[in-house]
Amino acid sequence: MNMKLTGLLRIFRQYRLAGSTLRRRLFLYFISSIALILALILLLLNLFGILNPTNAQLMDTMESGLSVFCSQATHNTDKIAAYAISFSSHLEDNIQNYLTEQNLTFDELRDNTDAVTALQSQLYDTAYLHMQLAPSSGVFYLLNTTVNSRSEVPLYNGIYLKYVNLVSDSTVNNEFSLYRGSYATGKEHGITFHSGWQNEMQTDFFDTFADTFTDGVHYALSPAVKIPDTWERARYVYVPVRDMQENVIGVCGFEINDLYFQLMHKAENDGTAPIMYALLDDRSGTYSGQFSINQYGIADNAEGGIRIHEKKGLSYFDFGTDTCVGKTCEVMIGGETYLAAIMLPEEVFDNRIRQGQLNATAIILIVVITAFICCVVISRKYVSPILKKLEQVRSRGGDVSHLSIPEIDDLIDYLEARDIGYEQRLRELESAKHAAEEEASRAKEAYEKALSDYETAQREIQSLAEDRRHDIVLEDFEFFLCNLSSLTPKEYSIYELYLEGKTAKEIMEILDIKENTMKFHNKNIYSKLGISSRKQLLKFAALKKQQETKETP
Amino acid sequence: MLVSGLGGCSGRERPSPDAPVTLTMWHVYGSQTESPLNNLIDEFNRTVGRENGVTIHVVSVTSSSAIDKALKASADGEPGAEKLPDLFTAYPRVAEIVGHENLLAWDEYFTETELDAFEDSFLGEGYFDGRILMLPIAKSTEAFYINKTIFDRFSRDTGITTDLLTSFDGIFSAANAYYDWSDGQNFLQINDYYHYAFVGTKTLGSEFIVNGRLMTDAPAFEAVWNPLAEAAIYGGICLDDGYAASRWKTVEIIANTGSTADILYQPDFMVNADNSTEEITAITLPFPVFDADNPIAVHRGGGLFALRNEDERKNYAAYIFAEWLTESENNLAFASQAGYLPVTTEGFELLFDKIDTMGESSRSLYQAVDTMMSDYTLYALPLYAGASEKQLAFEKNVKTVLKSAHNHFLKRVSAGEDADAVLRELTAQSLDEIRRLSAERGE
Repeated sequence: MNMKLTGLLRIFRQYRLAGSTLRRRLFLYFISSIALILALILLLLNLFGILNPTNAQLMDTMESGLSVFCSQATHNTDKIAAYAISFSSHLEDNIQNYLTEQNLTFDELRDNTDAVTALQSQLYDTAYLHMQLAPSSGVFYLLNTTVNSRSEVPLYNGIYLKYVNLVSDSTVNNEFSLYRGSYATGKEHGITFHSGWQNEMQTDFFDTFADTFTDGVHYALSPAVKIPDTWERARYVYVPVRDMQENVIGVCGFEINDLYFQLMHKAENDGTAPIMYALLDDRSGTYSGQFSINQYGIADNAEGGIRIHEKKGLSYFDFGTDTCVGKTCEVMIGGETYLAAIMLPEEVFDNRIRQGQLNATAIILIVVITAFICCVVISRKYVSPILKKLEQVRSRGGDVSHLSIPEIDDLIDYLEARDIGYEQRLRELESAKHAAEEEASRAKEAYEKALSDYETAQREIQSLAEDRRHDIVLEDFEFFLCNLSSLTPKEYSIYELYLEGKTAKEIMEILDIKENTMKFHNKNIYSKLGISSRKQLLKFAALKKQQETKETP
Repeated sequence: MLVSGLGGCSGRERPSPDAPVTLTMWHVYGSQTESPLNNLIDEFNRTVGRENGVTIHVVSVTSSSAIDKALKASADGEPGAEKLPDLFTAYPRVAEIVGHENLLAWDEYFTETELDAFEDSFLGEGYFDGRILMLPIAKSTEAFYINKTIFDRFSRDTGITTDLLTSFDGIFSAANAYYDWSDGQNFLQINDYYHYAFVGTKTLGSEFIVNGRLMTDAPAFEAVWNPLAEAAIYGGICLDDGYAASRWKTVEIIANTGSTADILYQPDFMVNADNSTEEITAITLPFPVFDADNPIAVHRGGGLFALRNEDERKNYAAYIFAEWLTESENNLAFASQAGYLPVTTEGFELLFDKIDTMGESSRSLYQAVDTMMSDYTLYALPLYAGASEKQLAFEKNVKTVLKSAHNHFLKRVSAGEDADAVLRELTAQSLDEIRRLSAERGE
């Protein structure tokens, strides 16, 4: 690794030392600039959510939409349930009052057409009033009694009113029809009869209502079922109707048909494919329910049961022939858990994600292509002429035409002018050099003659100096010998100790004298003997000894 | 983005699976029990719609009067009113309510070849200011429905047969006989007195509507009014509002005139007070005539309107759907299930070729229609300013006047007055009254 790094560094240094061509430098600068600009653009696009916004937006829309839908589904159903409870309470009071007035028991209503019809007539206003109050597509109450117990199909008696011509979730002034209820009730109140009208309701439509309400369950939300004799499907929010002994004698509540569900929960539509909301109930591992829109007819296949599996934080809804993608959350309604879902057909979901990616890619491509085109244009219009000119300069010397680029033309003029100056200076320098060489030759000859004269003079001076030194030394030695006797004993002792080779320090110790005393004696000795140093003293002493040795036979 | 660009280059921006659109729709082609158009729309959504990224979202199946009302509420911005749907079926009169400039001109999208496939008379109704704003998708005419189960019992006792039911005179005669036989039950409901007056007056060579005025003061009107009034005042005709179909179910009436599309609403059983039921055998007869030599009926049925949208993809999506719906086979499937007539020449021919393969009630209906198409002259109702209001007011006035006269008749006869004399007197009074009420409205 280190070897490779070192190798790379070496190549880089060599490259730097070698320098780069103008085109290469320009290319590198542009690439760097493009990369920087691109990075900034991508950063900004990302910051503002423009870069591949689809995925983020879709997820946000789904999450916020689901949250709102869950809240609405729970709230709306609770609200309807509150009206259902009020409805039930009023029904119970009215039924009890009627039975008391007529001195009848509830069981005695069975097969008693007059009594049941009269009871319906009394309960109609309560049903109508609650229908007007509750946000629903219909109202009903069904009692566990019938005017015809001999019927092959077991029947419940009651009133079921349905809105017709729904175009809005606001049902103010909406027409309604009698879907179930006696003919007399319909005629008495001038109600239009529904196309599928019948006097009573088959019991299998609400066959389990008595078992639904255990302790703590205030109301129930039925699965979405097909309404008999119509093309509609609906859910029912219903509560029990009880007698004085708290026995369940019927149910009452409100219908939310598919159309009303769609009007209540309008599909999110951003101009493309609307997002579907669904309130689903579990049917042993598969789900079915109501949808805010039947996108591409997919919801038609929900009857067979939807299978749901999770993948990468998304829910996949398998409708058998189609798959949707979305999110889910659990909601508690009437003591049961339901699945609130938001979804898109998988192909639409994929398309939207792909579209976002394509958009981002297109933006990047446009920037890159634009930058590349800029590079090419600048290279052709700017760099190429310069290189061409330089080539001309190189190949033809100074004979070049102008480029119409003032800066380059100025530079070439400047270089030409400077070349002329350099040539002039060169000629001057060459002339000066020639003169200087001649002068140097002359100076050399003079120097050599002067040197020869000097050496001769030096030799003469040296000879004279030798002679003079010899004369001076003899005079000093004579003075030395003559004044040796003028030394004091103490000074003489010091003189002799010097001759013995003792140092000044050793002499001070031997004679036990102080340094100043020693310096005093030395000064006197040197003064009296005419010498200037201990070396001269020893030299003269040596001469004296030599002389004494010659004189001794 | 790229798709948008390509769409723009090729002329119109189109929807696609990558850029899908959803169109909301209100329509009238369905009863509370069945909607053949919804079934067809589901098929479109699953097939061609999906291929082209178009979903039709039906948000209301309702009546034409409810659509009129809702469109007006939307157009006027009434509180609580729903936003106008992208597509709706309605009678031509709504073009005025919504505004011509707000509606898509179908001729901008359909090619000449495509438009040539339509029956000229049907397409002609959709022109406004030279543009096709209403596209015919199904048409109907009027027919006469009879509960054969009860009628046969009545026939056995009285000797009156269905032969009498080919003309209004015969029907009114049978109605009064039925009233007596059934101990005071109505025999017949006439679904539209405006149509009755229009057809009757035309048969007599006159016009009921002239320059937007209802000619109740004309002698021809008197000639068609009197037999109607006599039967209604006697008690043979039901004068209440509401659907004939529900009255069939409770045997309040056993016959009615109505759109061929009423076949969808006809119940197949009667319900007794003890909740027991009895099956009904129904037959359809051609619309009763005033003059056997000059049989006339109206052809009716609205058409498809689309709101002009700023998003061109939505406009094109509306065209894709309309084009698919009016393709001969699809149009025939829809029309024949809903009791309508297809709107293309080819569909029309195919329909009558298939009569023998239809179910009993449909066969009876289309045999009657076949007779009418061969023998009758069919007229469309004239369109004029305020037509809808005038029609509704006329209906209301007829029922009010005749109901009041009937109540007076019952009182006076039960008080011992001569029935024929009272009937003549009340008939004359009713004519004066309907003329007076019409005059009050400036008709």
